[in-house]
Order: sequence, then C-alpha cells, then structure tokens
Amino acid sequence: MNARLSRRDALLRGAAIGVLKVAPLLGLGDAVSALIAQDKDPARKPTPWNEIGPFYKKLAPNQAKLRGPNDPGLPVTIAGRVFNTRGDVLRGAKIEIWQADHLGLYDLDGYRYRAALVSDSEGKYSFDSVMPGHYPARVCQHVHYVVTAPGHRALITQLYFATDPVFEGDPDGNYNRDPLVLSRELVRPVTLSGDPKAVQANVSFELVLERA
Amino acid sequence: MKRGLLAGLVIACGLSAQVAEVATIEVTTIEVATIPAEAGFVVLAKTGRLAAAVCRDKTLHVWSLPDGKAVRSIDVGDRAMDVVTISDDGRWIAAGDHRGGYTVWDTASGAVQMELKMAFYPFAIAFSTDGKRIAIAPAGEPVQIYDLASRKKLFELQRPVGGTAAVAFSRDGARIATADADTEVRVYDARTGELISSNADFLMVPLAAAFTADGKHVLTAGGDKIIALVDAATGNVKRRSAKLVDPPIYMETSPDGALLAAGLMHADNMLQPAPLMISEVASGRTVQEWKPATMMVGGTWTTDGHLLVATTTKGAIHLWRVR
Repeated sequence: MNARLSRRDALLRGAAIGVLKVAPLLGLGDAVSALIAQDKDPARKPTPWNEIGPFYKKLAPNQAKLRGPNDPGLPVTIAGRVFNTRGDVLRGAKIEIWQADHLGLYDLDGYRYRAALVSDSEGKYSFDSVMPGHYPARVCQHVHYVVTAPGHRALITQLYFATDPVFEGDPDGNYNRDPLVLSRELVRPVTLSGDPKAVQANVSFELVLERA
Repeated sequence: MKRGLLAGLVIACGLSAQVAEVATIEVTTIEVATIPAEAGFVVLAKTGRLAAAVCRDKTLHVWSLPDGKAVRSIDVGDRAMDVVTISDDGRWIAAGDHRGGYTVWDTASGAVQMELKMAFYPFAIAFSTDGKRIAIAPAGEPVQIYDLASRKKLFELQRPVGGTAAVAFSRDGARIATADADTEVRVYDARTGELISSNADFLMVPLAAAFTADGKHVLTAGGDKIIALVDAATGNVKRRSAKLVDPPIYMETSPDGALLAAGLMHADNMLQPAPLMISEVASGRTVQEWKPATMMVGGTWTTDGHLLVATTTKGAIHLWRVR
C-alpha cells in the first residue's frame, strides 16, 4: 500500500488509539494543530559563532572535574543541554572546552582546564572549573567551546560571564567592549550559591547546533 | 588630527653587533597602536622600499624606505582593520576589517582595485608571489582565492572546523599551504584548489606556515611550539625541531632558501615581546635569536637577503635590520 498518512492524520489516529495524550481542556484538533506548528517552526536559534582562538588542543581528556581541590580561584560549575535548531536533544554530542586559569594563563603543554565531554541521554553536559582570569590580550573572561555531533555543523563559540568586571554591571550595554564578543547572547548570567566562606558560581549555557 | 610624520634614519643603534636599526618612522602626533587588536602591525614589501600600517588616525599610511618618507595616506574611515598585507613587489596592499569588509589598494595611486564583503573578519590574507592572486581566510570560513585583475573568485579551499590561521603560496605559485584551526596543515594545488596532502600530527593549532624555496616542503608551527618540516606532496613530517619557548606566529624563508625566520608569540601575554629565531632550513639549527625590547609587529625577508623587522613604541614605528 503506497498511501501515506499526513502528519495531521497520523496524530489524529494516535490520539484515537490512545498513543497521543491530549490535555483535557484542549480540543483534539487544536492539540494536533499545535503539535504540527511546533514541529514546523525552528524550536531554537543556533548558538552564535565565536572564533576558535589560537589555543585549541585536540585529544583533551573526558573529565568533568577540571578544578583540583586546592586550585585557587572562584569555583564555577557550567552546565547546559545540547539541542539542534529543531529542538531535538542531541545526545552523544562532543563538547570540547578550554579556558585560562584564574590568572588568565592557558596551559599549552598539558591539558589543565581542558576537557572533551559527551552529552548524556538528555543532552546534558556539566563541568566544574574555576572562573577564568582575564587573558592579557583579551578584554573578557571566557571559555572556548567546539561542539560536534553527527549530521550537524560544528559549533565554535565562547561563553562569557555577565559578572565580568569589564561589563561594569551592564552586559547589555557593554558586551561589545571586547571586539570579539559579537553577540550579547553569549554573555550568561552567573548565580552564586553556598555559604559566604565557600561561594560557588553557577552558569547555564545551552548549545544549539545547526543541521548539516 | 595632525598627521605629520617625521622620518629619520638611524644606523647601528647598538642593540647588538648583529642588529642595526635602519629606520625610525616617528609619528609625532599619531599614537601608533601597540596592541594588535588596535592595528598594531606593520607590513613591509620584499623590495625593502615600502612599509605600511593602519594607524590610530584611521588612515592607512605608506612610507618609503629607508628614508621613512610618507608617500601615501588612505582614509579607511571607521574600519577597524584586523589584517593588513602587502604584495612582494609593494604594488598592492590588502586589508580586512572587523565587519568583514576587504579592500585591495593600488599602492602607487591609492585606487581601490577590489572590494569584497564577507561574513566575517579575516584570520589571514596572502598574495601570491607574482601578485596576481590573493588568498583570504575569513574567520571560521574556507580560504577564498581571487584573481586580482578580474576581481573574480577562482575557488574555495576546504572548510576546516574553526577556519584557517595562516595561508601561504609557494614561490612558483603552484601550491597553497594552510595552517588550520582543526590543527591540520593542508597543501592544495593552487590552480584547481584540490587537496594535495594534509598532516594531522599537531595537537594544537598551527599558527604559521611557509614554503621552502623549492616548494617541496612546508615549514609550520604553532601551539605545539615545534617547527615541523612537512613534505608538501605527502603530508609526512620530515623533521621536528626541539621544543621552543613559545609558539611561532610568523614564518618566512629567506630569498636564497637557506634560512627560516620564525617570530614567536609570548603565549602568556601576546602583548609582550617574544624572540625572533633564525634557523637553517637544511639542518634546523638555530643560527640567531633576537628578542626585541617591544613586541614585533611585522617583518619580512627582502629580496636582497636582509631580514627587516618592525617594532613599535609609543608614537613610533621602528624598523630593524636583524640580518
């Protein structure tokens, strides 16, 4: 049989046999229309590109603990999920990150503050590090990312911190004080947790890849 | 803003027995940038007779050498230039700005030969030795090869993840080498754009590349701090240097092909001066090392066999004959 069900027909049949659950106050037709609309529109904007910089190093270890127990600097946990522009969760995406230490120095000889992570079944990734210092030739504190997933264009970007003193509390107005920060979206809020003697910074950074 | 330039010639300033300052271009009222992001770079023609720089007065200045006289000023408006380069014969100057605007000027007349708009600012720009083609590496994008006379794009090279940090033509114009952000070094046929070879031995990004005089090998180095001699036909590494103190970001072979000049980048602080190494191509042996007092902002081997290096101090560009 060559007849093909339309998307709408398939959803209606799914609802009829109980596979598709519909909210009680939502009519079946409305629910199906909403699902179709959701599927058609790009669910997420791609994460803006930002240049790779000179210090990328391949073959970084798969380690989520970049911060040693006695490392100086403000502890920071950076976490997020990896999606594509359709909103699909990307599990198994490779997330390579590297950053300077709390003084703004990169490790070129080893893999200190470098990692290659893999997103989990929910597209999640996370790593513990320290807030990077200001590299002397750059204006802003930053973390580099290269994210790759089969069937998608590689994402090269950088994460910036809204608490960076360079922004003077106004990342909206001052994000472009660093000429390499091409998008305000890459400047993420920082929340602090823990007691005053052991403050911990937390940053969420969602990564959205374009399909190849 | 006053643009007066006072030029002077200072011979043998006594930094060392082998290093002589051949010209000082004093910019009395223009603070020449000392930060690369603020256009702190100088380009030198291989003829040894022209130098050019985009200064903080938003002007591309061209000076004759060794007298340091201003020969041309080109207003670049509010364009923040990321890369400026000059053809070997000094006929063309190309620049790319931070908004993705690219211009090639005729140095003699100041006329615009070619203008392009691309998605991103440049990582690298290089002319072919004969000055007929130009390779542009926009940030994160494939290298694009243009014919200057027709202003037409001939082809694009491959798209490495992250783009291309450095690009170089062989002297005969037959090959193009790229030092790519995905850590590979690639060699292409310069007539067709087809990939000839690649090398993936580096762990970090190669930041500089130069062909040997015969075009058979590529000398390349970067974050690994090792200069590799790569067979252009196969991509195999023929020789690795001992580890250097810092990554090279500028590499160029002498006119006779015997020497390699490698300008290093102070990795912990790019704004600090770093050594310039001169080594024998045949053996890899270092024959000269010079650490300038301020950051090196340009350099070239001249056709008569001298190595000119530019440094800046506040208000002045200093040109040093290092060899």
